[in-house]
Amino acid sequence: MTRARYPVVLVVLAAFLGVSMVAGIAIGSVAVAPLDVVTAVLHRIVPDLVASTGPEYVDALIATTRGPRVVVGAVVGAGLATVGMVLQALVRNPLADPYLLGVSSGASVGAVMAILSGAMVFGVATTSIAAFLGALVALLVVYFVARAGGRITTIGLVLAGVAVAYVLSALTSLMLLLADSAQHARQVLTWLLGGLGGSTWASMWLPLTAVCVGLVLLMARARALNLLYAGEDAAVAMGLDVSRFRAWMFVLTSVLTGLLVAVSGPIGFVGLILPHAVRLVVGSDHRRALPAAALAGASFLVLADIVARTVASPQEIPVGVFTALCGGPFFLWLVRRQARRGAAA
Amino acid sequence: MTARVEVEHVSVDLSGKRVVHDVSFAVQPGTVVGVVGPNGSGKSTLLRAVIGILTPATGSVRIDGRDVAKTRPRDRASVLAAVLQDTTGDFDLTVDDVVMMGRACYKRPFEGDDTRDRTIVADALAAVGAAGLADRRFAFLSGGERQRVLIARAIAQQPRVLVMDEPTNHLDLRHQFDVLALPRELGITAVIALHDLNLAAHYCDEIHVLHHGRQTRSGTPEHVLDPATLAEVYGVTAAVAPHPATGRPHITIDPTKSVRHG
Repeated sequence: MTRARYPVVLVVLAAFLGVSMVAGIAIGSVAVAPLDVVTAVLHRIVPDLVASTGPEYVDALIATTRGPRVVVGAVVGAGLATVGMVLQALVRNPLADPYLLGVSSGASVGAVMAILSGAMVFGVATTSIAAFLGALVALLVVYFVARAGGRITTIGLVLAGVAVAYVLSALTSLMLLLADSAQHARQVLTWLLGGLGGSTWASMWLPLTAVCVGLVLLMARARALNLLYAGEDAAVAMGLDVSRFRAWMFVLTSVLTGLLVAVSGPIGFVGLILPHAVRLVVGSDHRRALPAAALAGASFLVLADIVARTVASPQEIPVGVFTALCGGPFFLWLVRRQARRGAAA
Repeated sequence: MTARVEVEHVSVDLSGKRVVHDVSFAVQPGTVVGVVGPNGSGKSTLLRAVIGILTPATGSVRIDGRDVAKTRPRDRASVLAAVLQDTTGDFDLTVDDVVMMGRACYKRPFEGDDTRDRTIVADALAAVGAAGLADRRFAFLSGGERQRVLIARAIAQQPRVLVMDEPTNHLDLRHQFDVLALPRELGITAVIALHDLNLAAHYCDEIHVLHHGRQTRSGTPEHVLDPATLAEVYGVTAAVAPHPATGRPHITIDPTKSVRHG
């Protein structure tokens, strides 16, 4: 991959995201012509320059349901791919993903606890804060359990992730069973499958801001993330204060995961598939891979959501179920490949 | 640019157990010092304390008078670079990516690579005879090629002190000589842990022998590498004679008399 081609890749990914989002609004139970979508969106942004070409309900569709759904999907996809990439550098293993490491389950426990208890200590942000704390605790537990003698093996990592995820989903189930309100419980259950159905403009702002700020902060330290590839001691020798940097990355990834899970429920494998695919195209240098992963993740989740809500129409399958159907086999393939490489080395 | 290293009464603990006991030596600017000893003698641990990865339990490591443990990691990395056993993870990095890591300590947030960085990286690869590897994928290199790339990365850090832990591992004979001659060619101070005593004898100005974490002998190769020390530390019977070409001590181990009894 030469340097000159990287901007081209970014432009292509951005254009693809645009196309995906238009498709996300156009495709559905009521189909809309893509051109009508584009003019309606542009009309909202610059009313004087562009006139809406489509029927009136297109505007309503954008304003109320498919519009926010597509934007939230893009934000969550971008965020999950970014978090996945950072986690992979932190644990130095390409098999990491917020869902597989139990971080999403931690966020779920926090969020469910907040919803069911109805304790709105910090107002509407309570769910997000609780999800962040849950994510952070889960991540710390998995990291330090998986780490034996300063090294994290794939087996240790996956086992610790699975075990923590199991315990945490059992906790979630328990809370659901003991919940006072059946209404709350059903609401939580739908959310837990990972879906974008309930997306609103109001729910978009917090994750959108977090993902944008998070990306900027990560790009500032992209070189430091690269040093983690080299191993802990080597990174120290190259001037990185590893323990401090790692603590900071734990907090940042937990905040992002918490906010994303609070809005969309736990959606798995986006953080596994996309970073991997992106590295194949632009290389592993985080300065190039992070923006590409965010763009690709955004497109991926928007497209996955289109499939999820149309494939069994009128029944809608949660997008988390669909990403797991794609991601599970991919994960197994990665494990096989790593095992082969390990055997060859 | 070169610097003086002082190791003063350094002891190091690992998980509460003392692994290195009260080691002291000084490395004059531009000289090469070898740390030798059997496996488990504490060489790597001592080197990790010199680099600043481990903090000494007692004593201090100073570079031109500055305590390594009290220097900011970035500042320290621009003075001292290290070549450790390869621990690069299972990611597809190019050789260029790996060597460019060495420039990190000079960079502010968001700062990109400039032409100067690229020149330094290319020169560093050339210095270890790996210029042709720049675009190759690091994970697919041979052990020897990887080792040379890691040395290039340390050189790209533009250090005044180079610390290397068994740098000749995986290298074929020719490259072993090249790598050990490198610090002197670049005019930088070097502290090197070595297995091969004959290489140590040839390339080091001074040698420090570690045995069970203690510094048992120190001095020039001629002074240190005698049959008595080899018998005591390594448990082998060896003859030491001047090398016919260099005049440096050359060790010949007698395997028939070096079998451990009991």
